[in-house]
Formats: sequence, structure tokens, C-alpha cells
Amino acid sequence: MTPLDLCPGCQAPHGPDEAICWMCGHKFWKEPNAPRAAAAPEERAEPAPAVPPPPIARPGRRPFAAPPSAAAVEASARESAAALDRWTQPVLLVSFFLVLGGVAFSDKASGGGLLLLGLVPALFLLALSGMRPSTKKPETGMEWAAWVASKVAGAIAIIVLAGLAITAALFIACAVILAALGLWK
Amino acid sequence: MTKSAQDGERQWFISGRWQEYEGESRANLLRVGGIAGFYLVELFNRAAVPPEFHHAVTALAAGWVMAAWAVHMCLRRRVFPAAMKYLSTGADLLLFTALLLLADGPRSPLIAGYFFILCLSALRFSTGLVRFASFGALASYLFVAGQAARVRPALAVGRNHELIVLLSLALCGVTLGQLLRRVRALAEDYARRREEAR
Repeated sequence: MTPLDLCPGCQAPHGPDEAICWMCGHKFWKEPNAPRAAAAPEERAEPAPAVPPPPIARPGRRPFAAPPSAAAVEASARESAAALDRWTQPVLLVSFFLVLGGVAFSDKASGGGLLLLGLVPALFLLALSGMRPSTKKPETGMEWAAWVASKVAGAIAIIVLAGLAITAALFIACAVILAALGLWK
Repeated sequence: MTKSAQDGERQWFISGRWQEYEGESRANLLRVGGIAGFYLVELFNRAAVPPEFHHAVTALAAGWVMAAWAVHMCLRRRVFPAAMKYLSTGADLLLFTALLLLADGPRSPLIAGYFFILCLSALRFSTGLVRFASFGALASYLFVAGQAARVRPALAVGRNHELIVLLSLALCGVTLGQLLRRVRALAEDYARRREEAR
């Protein structure tokens, strides 16, 4: 990810195609940007950790595969986190409207279905975000509270999803058995 | 105006814009929290209201959350015109007034929500916005009270009731405006003391 340019007036990040600063109205054609090297701290790329040398294979034996390096694991975790972030908003939005529809029409049979349909993806996302390892250690009280809340919400989501899955599996198993015995009505 | 005074005004403007950006984000979060809280109260009260009212309130809540989501997307994508705070506050006043027109109008306890909208406006550190929100809340309340007096007389309130609510809204707006005016004096005094302490 290329570092963004910073406005010389207010240090707000902006893209290369913007002519006027979105924060302070500074006109970039009058005064050039701050140099790219002085990127915002959160945009600065962290130096990659040193990659350990591959293990030496013994003669006569098949060489075994080297374990993934810390950088590769980190990159993979960031990619999955970015993918999760990309999908979180649209899924939560759709979930929200389905839940609202379920609540609004709860006096009808379809209301319960809409509610369940809306809750399941939201619970799934909560469970995923709760299981995701933190990339930054919480420092302030608010950050700790947010971390604990995400872990608790993730745990509750996992329990509820597991309960729903077990219930659905038992229902299907009972339905199959009853149908096989000719008792399903 | 001297160059240093111009620089000072420019830096104050930039600081104000940053605080306005942060304040808009916090106000949006509180807005969604407020919608969720009020909707939960509506859910607890569902048995006592007709289904058409519940559906209408649900649609209103959904539209309000969509507006909050639009504000959130603009803030994330660095779309932040100076008029955004007026648009978001105007949307709050419009949707809240629509909610009151659906509910019991001037008799509804939801009237207290106008004060919440006024407090939200102060988060953006703009006296112009506080003025806009105050006059908007006064006009909205007058509209709700007038509509109840003409169309739903059973829900109309007495003149003294209306005057007390109007006076409270006006005083709340004036107090918030005074608070914001004190912020600059506080910042300048703090900067002067830091400079003297060096």
C-alpha cells in the first residue's frame, strides 16, 4: 500500500488525484505536498522481520519443508483480516434489515424466518472477529473494554451458532428417521 | 490583520476542522446508539401500540440508520464538506419530528429527544450549527404542537406547557453556544500559559 500524501497545512492524508484538501481546503497546486517519506504513522509500512535460514536436510533423507516464516504468517493474517473487514459492512447491513423485517413482521410466520436469516450472518461475523488474533495490544481502558467486548461477543456468537447448528442437525436427523419409518406427517 | 494573526486564525480553523471531523464521527455513533435505545423501548412497548404504528416506526428507524451509515461512509472516504454537519442535523430534526407526528405529538415523552439533538450539535464545535439546531428544534416543536392543535385536538397541550418547552429548548441552545465560545478562550489561555512556562 503506497503511503498517502499529507497536506502541508493540516497533515490530513489525501490521494494523488485530489486538488483541494478535504479537511482544510488547502489548494495543492499552490503548495506541493509533504514528501511521501513523511507518511502518517499508521500508514508507514513496518520493516519485515528477519527470515530464518531454511533447515539443512540430512544427506540421504528427503528434505522437509521449512515452516512458514513469521512474515508470511503475518501477511496471511493481515489478508484474512482485510477480507473480513471488506465483507463485514455489507453483511451487517443486510443482516440489520433482515432483523428489522423479522421484528416488524413478527406477528406473521415469515417474521421468525427473517429474524433467523438476519441473525445468523451477523453472529457468524461476530464469531470470526472474536476469534481473530489482535494485531495491537490494548493500551487504554477503552481499548481493553473494546477487546473484552469483542471476545465476549465472539464467544456468545460461537455458542449460539453451535446451538443452532446442533438443533438443526437433530431436527434433520429426526425428520429423516421419522420419514424412513413412515411416521412423518 | 497582521500575518501572525492570520496564521493564528488559519491554525484555529484547521484545529476546528479536525475536532469537527472527530465530533461528527462521535455524534454519528451516539446517533445510532440513540436510535437503537429508543427502538428497544418501542419493542418493549409493542403490545400497547397498533401494528401499523410499529411498522411505521420500524421503517423510520431503518431510514435513520441508513442516513447514519451514509454519514459514516462519507467520513471514511474523506468526503467532509462543511455543510455535512448541517445536513446530518437537519436529517435528525426531520426524522425525529416525523416520529413525533406518528406518536403522541407534544404529549409524547419523546419530546426530550430534541435536547439530545441539541447536545449532539455541540459535539462538532460549531456555534453556527448549535444556532441551526436550536432554531430547527424550536420550529419543529412548533410544527408538532400546531399539528396536534389543528388535526389531533385530543393530544394538544396547554399554552404554558408549550412555552416552557420552547423556553427550555432556547436556553439549552444558548448555554451550548456559550460553552463553545468559552472553548477558544480556554485554548488561548492554555497556549499562553504553556508558552510562559517554557
